[in-house]
Amino acid sequence: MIITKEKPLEEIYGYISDCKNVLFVGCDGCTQPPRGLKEAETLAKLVEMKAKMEGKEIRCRFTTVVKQCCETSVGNLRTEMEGCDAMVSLACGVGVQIMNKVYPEVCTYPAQDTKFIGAEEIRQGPMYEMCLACGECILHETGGICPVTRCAKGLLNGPCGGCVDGKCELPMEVNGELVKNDCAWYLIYHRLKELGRLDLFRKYRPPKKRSLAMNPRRL
Amino acid sequence: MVFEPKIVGFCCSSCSYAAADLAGKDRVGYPSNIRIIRLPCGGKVDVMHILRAFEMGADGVFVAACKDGRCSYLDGNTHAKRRVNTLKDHLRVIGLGESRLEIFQVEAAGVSFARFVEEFTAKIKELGENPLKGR
Amino acid sequence: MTVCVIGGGISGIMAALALSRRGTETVLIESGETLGGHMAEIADCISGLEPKLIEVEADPLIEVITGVTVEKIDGSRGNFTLTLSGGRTINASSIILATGYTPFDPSVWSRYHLEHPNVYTSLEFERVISLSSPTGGRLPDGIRRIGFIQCIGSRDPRANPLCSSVCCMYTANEIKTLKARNPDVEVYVFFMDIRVAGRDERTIDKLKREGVTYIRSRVPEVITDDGKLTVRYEDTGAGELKSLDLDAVVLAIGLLPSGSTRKLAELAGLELTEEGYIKVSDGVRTSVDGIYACGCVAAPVRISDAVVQAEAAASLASEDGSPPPEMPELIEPEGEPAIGLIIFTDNGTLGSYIDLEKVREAALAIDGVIQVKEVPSLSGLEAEIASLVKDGSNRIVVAGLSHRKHEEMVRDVVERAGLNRYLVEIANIREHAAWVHPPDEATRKSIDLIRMAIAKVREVSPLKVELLPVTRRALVIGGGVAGMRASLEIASHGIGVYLIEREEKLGGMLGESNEIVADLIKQVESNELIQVMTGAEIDRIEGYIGNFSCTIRDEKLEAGAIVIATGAKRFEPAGLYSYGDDPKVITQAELTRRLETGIDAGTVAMIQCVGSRDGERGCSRVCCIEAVSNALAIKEKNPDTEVFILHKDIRTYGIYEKLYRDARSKGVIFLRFDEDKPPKYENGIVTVFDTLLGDEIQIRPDLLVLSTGLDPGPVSRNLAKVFSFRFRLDDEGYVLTCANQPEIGLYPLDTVIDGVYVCGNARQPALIETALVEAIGAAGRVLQVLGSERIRGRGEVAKVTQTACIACETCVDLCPYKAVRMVYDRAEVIPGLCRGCGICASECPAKAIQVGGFSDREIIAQLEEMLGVV
Ligand SMILES: Cc1cc2nc3c(=O)[nH]c(=O)nc-3n(C[C@H](O)[C@H](O)[C@H](O)COP(=O)(O)OP(=O)(O)OC[C@H]3O[C@@H](n4cnc5c(N)ncnc54)[C@H](O)[C@@H]3O)c2cc1C
Ligand code: SF4
Ligand code: SF4
Ligand code: SF4
Repeated sequence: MIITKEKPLEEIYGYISDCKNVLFVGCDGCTQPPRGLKEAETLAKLVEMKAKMEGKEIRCRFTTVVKQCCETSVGNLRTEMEGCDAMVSLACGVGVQIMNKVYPEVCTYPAQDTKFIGAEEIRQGPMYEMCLACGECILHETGGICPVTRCAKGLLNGPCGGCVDGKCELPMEVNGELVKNDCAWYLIYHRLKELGRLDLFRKYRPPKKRSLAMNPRRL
Repeated sequence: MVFEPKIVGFCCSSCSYAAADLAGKDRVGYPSNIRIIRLPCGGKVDVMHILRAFEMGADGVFVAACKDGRCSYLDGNTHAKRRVNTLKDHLRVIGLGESRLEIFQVEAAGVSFARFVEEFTAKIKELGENPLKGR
Repeated sequence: MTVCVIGGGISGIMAALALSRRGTETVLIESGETLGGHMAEIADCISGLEPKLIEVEADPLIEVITGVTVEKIDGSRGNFTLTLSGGRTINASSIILATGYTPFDPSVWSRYHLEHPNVYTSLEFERVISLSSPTGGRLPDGIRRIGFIQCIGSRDPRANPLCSSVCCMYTANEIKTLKARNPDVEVYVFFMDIRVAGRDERTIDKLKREGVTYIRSRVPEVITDDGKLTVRYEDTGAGELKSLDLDAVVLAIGLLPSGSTRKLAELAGLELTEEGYIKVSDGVRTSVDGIYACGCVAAPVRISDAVVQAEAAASLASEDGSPPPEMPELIEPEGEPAIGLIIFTDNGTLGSYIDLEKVREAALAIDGVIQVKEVPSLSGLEAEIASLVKDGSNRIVVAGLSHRKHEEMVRDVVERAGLNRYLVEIANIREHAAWVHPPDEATRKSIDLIRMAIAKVREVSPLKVELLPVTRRALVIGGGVAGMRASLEIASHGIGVYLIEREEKLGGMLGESNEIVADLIKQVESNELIQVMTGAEIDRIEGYIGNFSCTIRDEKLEAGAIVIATGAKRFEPAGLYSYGDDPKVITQAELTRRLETGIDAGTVAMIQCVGSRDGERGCSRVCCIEAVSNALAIKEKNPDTEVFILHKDIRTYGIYEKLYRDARSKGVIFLRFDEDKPPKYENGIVTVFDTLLGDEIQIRPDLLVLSTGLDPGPVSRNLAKVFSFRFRLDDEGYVLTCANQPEIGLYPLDTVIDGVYVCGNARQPALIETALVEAIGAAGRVLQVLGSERIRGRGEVAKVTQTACIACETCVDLCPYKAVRMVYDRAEVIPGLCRGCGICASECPAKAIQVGGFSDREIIAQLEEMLGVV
């Protein structure tokens, strides 16, 4: 789902170090890894303790909502947020914006960096980007593997010349280390072969309609 | 007055609690500053409980779990290690210092338990009182 | 009626506990003052033994009598009368002998110089390296080079012709412990053969890598000169006499029949082996009906094997019909917590470490405490707790005991007093305070510990002990000897069995032609309680102890307990030594079959360890014994046939050493080759580099026999798929038992899943005899579960507050036992599978999970109490 990563504690603290009363709001929705009540509480405690260490007092409360991407759901916080001068959202970027929209009177700050739409291989394991939300899905032709997202160049008609041993020529930096991704088209080829649909591999795909990915989009 | 720190020890019921018991049986003394809270497994240790302990004024907290590959619940000790190490980072950031929290993987032996408690207590004494106390 | 167990070592203890779990009353007789036997002297085993000692003492069905011997045994099966040294008589339906062993005393031979202060027997050395020694396991100063000599008083016709089976293994364990506590010491081991398998083999490999020198030699001589120690030995590799100066020597002494075995055998009219062990058939049956033997009385064995035999003996001796007593009606606590505190004074000794009066006063001042009582001994606990409950306490705190040792016992007592068993808490003021701190600090800490325990017990809500219904039927997987024997044993107690075999026929690896197999098949097929399903492959097994469900094709079978007896495959030597191409090359199993009709060969060569000990697979344990007995059979039929056995070590452990000796005396030629120089077979000629001669030897055999080992992989990997929960195999691919897991496992037939047991080759390579004992033992474990209509679940399990659950499935993924499942989009814990580790609870983002006995409230209450923020 939507993959997020917590921001450094210093940074979050920096947003609210001058506030007096802050509400930390988790989200029970789709973010991976989940950032619910427990994470909100932990963050609240840490911020409160840091303030104390600096001789200040920030009253930190915490709560969670079913999904921060829904205005109704966020609207239920009305009484809880009473009296706070800032909020911190542990949801994805959508959640942070909805919070700001529903409660314009205080500023809601993000506690997470929203990374991408993706999946985790195993729980608490590495996360992979899977979908760019391009607006026009072609997975039915590519063996269920998205070249728009998983090919570094977004190629639509087979690999470039940089595919070596099934790996993409463009290395990626992950946690300070250079790793090589699988070449999306290498995966697609083998998958289609397995499915007995190499005819799809040979099929020509015209360039995508960029307009479908022009933001902001709405439905 | 000399500073006598208050130290909380979260101990798993297997190796760690046994180690503390064996220290008793073998009469291996160690500083009396620690109070053990027994958990079924190192994997039960909760970040919230550690934070609460510091908030309430504990000067040091340690988590004791079994050695790698010895956890009675297969991998509770690795979960404990992961949580403690992340939390240590956070403690550094908030200014409490990462050394007030330690994870310790024991064999069921009194001597090593006593030695660890001794070292940890000495370190906490050096660090002084939990600055959050009374704030 | 009662069963009498003689001998209170680990075998006797485990037999008594197994009997009691079957509802059989047991008398345990020990001639010494305390229970424990030799296990109590082994450095790293004590912590495993202690809880068992307490369990025995606290078990209402077991009567322990120490300091007496048996003077007379009359009667027969069903009605024995034993007369004890004090004059007391005991009536027993069966008798289990577990009188163990006597360690060999090397002082009878002056050439080992036991009088020298730095010459130890291995048992003495256990004490030196024990953490409880005055130095915490550090060697005395000045010992830097230390030598271990194996086979002292073993494999020696003048002392004891048998191999003691355990000394190679325990020597390695001692060195491991020694090295951990004295990393700089140099270690030398003098050995004839290394006879270990499985994990021990890897231990020795590791020791060698860490610089321990293993020297193959005949048993050397120890020389003292001005107090200096020198070991003189014949290096069988180099064939020369050498000597080595050492600072200390450890003699790995063998295990001899215990002194009183002969006397007991005479009293009961039991047959002995020529070496003085009790003669057994079926592994545990003596020559007298109704008398069984287990542990080292019948042959030297390691602890886990002794316990297997104890389980088997107990199973055969169990009386059925007396299901465990129903639990009393529980008083649910009403109103405010009213706490009764008991201070266990350890026969008054606690008072010399802490100020009991102060503790008492402080305790009485605590909110909610209504009574404080002192109890000097464990035997007084029951009455005192009962009276506290009668006088209105609805929660109990016991100070001065240890959770680890006494928790279950105290809970049982509390339950018998009519309270929920989870409404009691222990404050360990003895081990954790009195014994480790100076008096005033200890007193202060004791008060704190009691306050914390009280704070916790105030927060406890009585946990529901669920009574899980038991499907009184067993599922046995695998129709080889072990599976069939286990099924018969279970059925003989009136319990139905599904026996599942993947192949079309019963019989397993040995096949129907084998006599034992044929007999078992006949019995199984004529037994109405056993439903045999052949050609049946299991798809899936789900559920938990008492309630398993097993899917085969479209059928669902329900069972309360499971025995895994799926065996292992014979390693296929295809392509090795021209097997398959050259008709002269056969496997040992084929030879066994051919020997039934006789073979015609002038020269037979056998190559050991084909497909075993090759880095991938370990020692298969049985091939050496198989090869040596076949060699003997050949020689018996035709003494002129030349037989060569090419080997790495000859591992005829225990009583099988006799076969080895016989074979050598009958002219079987043993040639040892090095691991990295295996024999070659080309153009009908075997070439081998014999390490003793230091030269190449060529043999032109009429038959080349490959001793192929076992390969557990194909069978067990399949098994792992069948179980819906995390099922564990060991490093070699055998089913992981609780014996492999902790330092010392006392449930060697239990897998990591409660209610699932394992026997035979699926567990580890086993001879038929051993497999049968394991099968009976595993059946015994099954019957312990199926003996009652219902079993109690654990109270300390995880529970999900479903309204709080956000369906993130973190818990489902993290639970090591796959005990959480999603039901209608909410997590739910399966109580029979949950072991209460709490991994899920501390990770649930919704804080929706609490573990009984360790809830957030209980833990925070303890923190608050200790940190003074109440
Ligand atoms: C140095 C050493 C190290 C070892 N290390 C290990 C190890 O690391 N791991 C391992 O698995 N095994 C080890 N062993 C082997 C282990 O000791 C045995 O497997 C185990 O103790 C066998 O238990 P048992 O109950 O059969 O016999 P014992 O322990 O000998 O117990 C027999 C009991 O019966 C009592 N008894 C004897 N005669 C009578 C009578 N007439 N009436 C009443 N009671 C009687 C005795 O007092 C004793 O308490 C080691 C052995 C040695 C010598
Ligand atoms: S070969 Fe047998 S007797 Fe010799 S040390 Fe090894 S186990 Fe003991
Ligand atoms: S971890 Fe908690 S919230 Fe997530 S599924 Fe499990 S019980 Fe529900
Ligand atoms: S407590 Fe442990 S065993 Fe029980 S459900 Fe949670 S993780 Fe699984």
